[in-house]
Amino acid sequence: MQAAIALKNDLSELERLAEGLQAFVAANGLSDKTLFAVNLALEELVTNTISYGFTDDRPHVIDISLRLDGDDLHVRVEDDAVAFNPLENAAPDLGAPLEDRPIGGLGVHLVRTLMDDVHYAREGARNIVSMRKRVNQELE
Amino acid sequence: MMDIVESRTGNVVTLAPQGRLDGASSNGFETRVLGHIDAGDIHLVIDMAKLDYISSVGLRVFMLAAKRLKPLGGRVIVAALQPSIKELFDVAGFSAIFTIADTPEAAVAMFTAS
Repeated sequence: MQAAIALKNDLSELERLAEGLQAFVAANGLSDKTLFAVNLALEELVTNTISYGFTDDRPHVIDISLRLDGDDLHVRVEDDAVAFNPLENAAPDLGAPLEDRPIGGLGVHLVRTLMDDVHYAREGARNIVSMRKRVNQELE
Repeated sequence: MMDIVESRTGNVVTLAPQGRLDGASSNGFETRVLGHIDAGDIHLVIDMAKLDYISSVGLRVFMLAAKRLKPLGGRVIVAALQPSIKELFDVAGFSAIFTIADTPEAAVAMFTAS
């Protein structure tokens, strides 16, 4: 099954993203755990894009697509924001003492950990993040 | 708006956020938590029983609180984490920074015992 969610570049759209994901997960019998992971990963990417990706005041669209292929859930995020590879950030040092741990920087680490595969590509004027998560429907 | 239920036992303040701690609600949570720290409440329990979802902006508030409390001799104990959130805490390396209790009562008891 497939679904597409088009978000405006406004943080208030995160609620609609969550609702769209809930509907998809329910329709496909996926688990709460999968919903949690995918929601978190997408919220992270979309929040970054909305917050930092656009330099004009015009409305933009961020296209999310979901596709279940056997035991693999494919998630794609496409936008026309400035060229930005969210995967370029270094992983945080999780063993560092509290004083040395920065307050931010966890988001991309979470995306990489919660999803099984994450790829970034720039095609023309568009950023494309493709992700895959294995979901075992029988066990869900 | 996310509700945050608050209670106090001696010098321990328990905050119980309800629902989702995400981009829309994290500012409110941050204001509440830092407000307590600024007012001298340095023994904080965050009761997570009713928290269904937390994203990295929410985790950021926890980190901020821990960093502010440490030099003040205070700390945050988190209680009643739902499984997905416990897993997230592990992934984020938070389990090394925050004491985790099964229940908010146990968390409060950890403060009063020390």
